[in-house]
Amino acid sequence: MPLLRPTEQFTHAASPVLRDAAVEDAFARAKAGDRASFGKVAQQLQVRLYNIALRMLGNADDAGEVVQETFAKGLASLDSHRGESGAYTWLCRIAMNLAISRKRQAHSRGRTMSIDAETASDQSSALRQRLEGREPSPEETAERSEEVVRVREALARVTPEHRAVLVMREIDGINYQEIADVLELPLNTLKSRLFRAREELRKELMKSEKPTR
Amino acid sequence: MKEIDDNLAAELAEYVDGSLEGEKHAATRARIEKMLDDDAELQTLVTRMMIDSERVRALPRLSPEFDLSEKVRTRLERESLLDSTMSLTTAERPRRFGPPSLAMAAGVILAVSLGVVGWSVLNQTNRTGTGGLVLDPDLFKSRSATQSDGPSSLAIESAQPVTPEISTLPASASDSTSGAEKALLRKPQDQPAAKNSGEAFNATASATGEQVAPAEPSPTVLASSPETLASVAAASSPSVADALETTAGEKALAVADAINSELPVARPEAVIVIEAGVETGDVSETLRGIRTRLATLVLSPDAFAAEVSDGNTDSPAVGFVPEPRRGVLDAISNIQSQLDVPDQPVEFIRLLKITGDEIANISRVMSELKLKEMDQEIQVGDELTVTLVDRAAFGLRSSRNVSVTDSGVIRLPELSDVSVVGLSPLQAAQSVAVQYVNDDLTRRPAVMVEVLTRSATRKVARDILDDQKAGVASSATRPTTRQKQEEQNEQPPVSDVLIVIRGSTVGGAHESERARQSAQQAAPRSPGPSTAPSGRAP
Repeated sequence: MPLLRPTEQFTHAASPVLRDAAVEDAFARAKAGDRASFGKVAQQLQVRLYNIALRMLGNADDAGEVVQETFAKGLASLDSHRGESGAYTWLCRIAMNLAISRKRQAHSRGRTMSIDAETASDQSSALRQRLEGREPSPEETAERSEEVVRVREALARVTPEHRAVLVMREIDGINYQEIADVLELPLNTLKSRLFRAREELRKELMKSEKPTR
Repeated sequence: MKEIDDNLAAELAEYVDGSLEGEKHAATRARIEKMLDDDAELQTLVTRMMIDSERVRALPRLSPEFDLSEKVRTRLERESLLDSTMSLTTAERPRRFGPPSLAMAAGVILAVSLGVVGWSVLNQTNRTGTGGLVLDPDLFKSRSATQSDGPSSLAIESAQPVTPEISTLPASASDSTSGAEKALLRKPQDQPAAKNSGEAFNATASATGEQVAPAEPSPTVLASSPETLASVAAASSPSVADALETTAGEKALAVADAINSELPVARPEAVIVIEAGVETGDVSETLRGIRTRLATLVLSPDAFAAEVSDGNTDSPAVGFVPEPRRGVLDAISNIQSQLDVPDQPVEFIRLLKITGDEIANISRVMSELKLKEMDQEIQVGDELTVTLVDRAAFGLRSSRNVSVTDSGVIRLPELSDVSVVGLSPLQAAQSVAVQYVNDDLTRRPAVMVEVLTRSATRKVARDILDDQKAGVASSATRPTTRQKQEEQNEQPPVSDVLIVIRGSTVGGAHESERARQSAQQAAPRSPGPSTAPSGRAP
């Protein structure tokens, strides 16, 4: 028997509902001409999209910009949405494309990516908090723990296409078919890519793990 | 460890996730567990993956530090306000006649001149087939908020096609006044009455000093009378400028649709925009910046890949021939050489080649461009760069230079031969894209085909070099060679050859003429019709 069986060891977060009725309703109204409804869509989805962008880019500032840009693009191209996908899937696809594009552009400019940027972002965030005189939230404290830093650094070194799959599956908890829709991949290709992505993550994590005796 | 093929990888991914539970998957699960029992290394890997998976899931979910939807809501509110305020006519807008700054005047000159470039590019493509001047209106939009509070932030719309032949300005132009400036500084009474034609003013410059006759029904206005400068001043008011830009942005999107329906470069928010943001540095630096952006954003495979990756294009194919690129650079260099702009900072300038009435006109011009493009047929021996962007794989890009074989096809790795002879670059790109799908190599290919070298160019260049080697550098023999070549190819050598052989020591009267033309092409700053005349040598 394997050392672990998934159902024995782990519980999986329930897949979030991609087609949230309230969001879809607001989105439909925005498409029909009530553009103000798009603000509701943005408000409802911003945290999910932000976390996806954050783990894709490894930088809070960039993630915020990408999400804002996602909404701007979404608003500007509402008419091009053909109704084949839900609001979240559609916006998620835009966000993913923007994040990957931004990553690639930064890479081509020779900018130091992810780890340094994230550390700098952490520092600036911490500085902001000090200046504002507020305590970091438990989540923010956790974000800076050694284990979390190690995992997110490893994730940042994974190739963007693998990282996208990992982020959507593990962070956002989306099911296979929905990820396949976002990434426009055949279902089986998506699954095998998920495995390859995990393989790559494993290698990256091994680099940062202390050797066990 | 057992080799893991894609099918097994897919199953293992599901196993790691715990998705193989229940009776339905019992057989698969049992098979995998048997496999894991037999392969300790694989078992360790899978186990580690489960742990890693949980570690990633345990990453904290953070909230953004501020409301990311606020910007959208602000924009929506502004749209809502503009809906009610922008129905005001220009006549109702307070007009200011304050003295425009020198920077502002320079801005007008630069903007109109850039309009010349914009239309020059379009007309250049008219001669050569494809391409387009397309910059990102999001830049325009996103900067509107930050730039509009500057005292001399301008938003300028250029209405009608601006004549491209800026290098043929009349010799009567005074020495101290550049051609573009001269076009601007025409008497107000010479202008049609549309100087306040809406949210922004329109500008047209003419190469010959004559005002370009507007293609109906769009009004054409020259832009440098005191009134128009006053309009600029009015536009510099933060609130007005903001409104102008927003409105222009909306128009830009409308025009974008029209352009996209015609242009081979499809991009939902394509707008003919020239942007000259100068906060520090002199104008020439800005122009260099623009030149770089034109080259990289509009015409390069990288730009194409970025477009695709950004999801900005639904077009599966783009075709380019080399001349537009050179045309853009030449046109900008010409402007640089002709502008008499003081070396002091000019604040932001934007030039949108749009008005509501112009949409139809642009469409008409684009249709002509498409027809012209059909003339650009790929021939046997042409060298192409084929760029594939796999939209189903995050815009992974690969480029390859290929030659068109004697049988008229191009060969790309893993892809069946694609027949391209007689096709335009755009059509070739479409064929390649279709073949990628037919061969089941990718579901969503985007392909760009760029003609690197025409076969005639290479052959003539080779002839000339051969002649050089043979010491047959007399002018008498060369026309014969060329004639022969022309007969063989049924088309004259393209002018690229002049650049190919530039610097060679071939002598003779004919060569001198060739060298003169070559120098003309290589020195775009010099006045005169230095842009490539039509891609063909005389």
